[in-house]
Amino acid sequence: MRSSRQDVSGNYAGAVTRLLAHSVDIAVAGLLFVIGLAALDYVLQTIVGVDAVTDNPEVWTATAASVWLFLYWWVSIAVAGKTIGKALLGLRVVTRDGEILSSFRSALRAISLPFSYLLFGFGFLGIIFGRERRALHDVVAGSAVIYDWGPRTAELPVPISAYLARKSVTESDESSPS
Amino acid sequence: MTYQDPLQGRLGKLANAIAARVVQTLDLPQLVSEIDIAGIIDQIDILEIMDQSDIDAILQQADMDAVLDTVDIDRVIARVDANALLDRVDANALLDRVDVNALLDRVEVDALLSRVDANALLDRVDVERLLNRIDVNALIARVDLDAVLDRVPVDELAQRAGIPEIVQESTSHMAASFIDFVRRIAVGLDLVVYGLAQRVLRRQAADLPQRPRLITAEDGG
Repeated sequence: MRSSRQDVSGNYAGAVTRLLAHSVDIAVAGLLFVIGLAALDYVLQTIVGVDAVTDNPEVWTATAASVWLFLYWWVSIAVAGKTIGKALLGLRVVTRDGEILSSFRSALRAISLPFSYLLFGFGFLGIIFGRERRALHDVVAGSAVIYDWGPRTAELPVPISAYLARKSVTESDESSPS
Repeated sequence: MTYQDPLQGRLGKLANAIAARVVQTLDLPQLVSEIDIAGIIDQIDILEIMDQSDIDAILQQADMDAVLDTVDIDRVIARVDANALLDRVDANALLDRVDVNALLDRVEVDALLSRVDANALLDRVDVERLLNRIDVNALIARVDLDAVLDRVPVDELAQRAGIPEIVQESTSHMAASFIDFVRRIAVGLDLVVYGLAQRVLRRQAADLPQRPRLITAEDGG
């Protein structure tokens, strides 16, 4: 049955997989930020003896969160080509041609990522309707996201593979001269 | 000075002369043959004599070693009917009086075992017959398994059998299988969403690029 699954390794990744990976990344990055903030607060109060409470804690927290999220996306993409969520879902970020994304392009992608959320997520529509399934931040950074399950083959489920196989046979029959 | 009866001296000489004459005229072998020795012996009360005798004193004066030296033990033993003697022995009563532990303490087991040809001994053993006589259930029931297991290095055995590696590999395989299962579902939904979007845009999916220019299926997988 395994051989009947269609191989999609290296293909452009679709909206559902990328949404799940992005959700995992938001959860992981948020959790790490909260843990880091609590640890920093403990260190400042207990060891250093400085009160971390300021006049505008929201501003400081938002600034720290922005910096942290930028670092999370930038470093992980620049070093491994994938974030934790993308690694879990089997995705990899490459250049538009399929090469390794540079550190600069990774930083550009991390900076432009928030702009994809503007106008009710308009920047993400490219993943659904674009020819290369690229979001706004992919276009800005010149990147693309592909399926990469590491040593294993990225595969479609058997029913969809079978459907595609039948469809392929039908189309070839219709196109061939009778 | 001792007094001597003159009559006694003369009578003594006379008596001695008569006695010598009588002895010379007597036929002693004939006289002895006419004596009823059996009758005399019958009149002797041996038990009474034994009672009156100090046997211990007699035995103490006896040179038993000299007596035994004159005895031919081999001849004596040769005349003994050993089987008849053993038949009269109550072996069980004899064994009851034997302190087996003390006997075994005196046995040098190593020396004894070194003289045993174990292979020859085992060749003579009918193992099947021996096993048939063994009640395995009763034998196992007598075994204290907890005590046995306490002496078994379970952790070491598990390490040597590679069980941790097997468990780790199995766990990793299960986790990978589950992750791949979720990934396949997501990829399938990707394709469904993408197909619907292309249908809305009235584009043929087959005409669109599937992957970046420099990526091959091998690179991606």
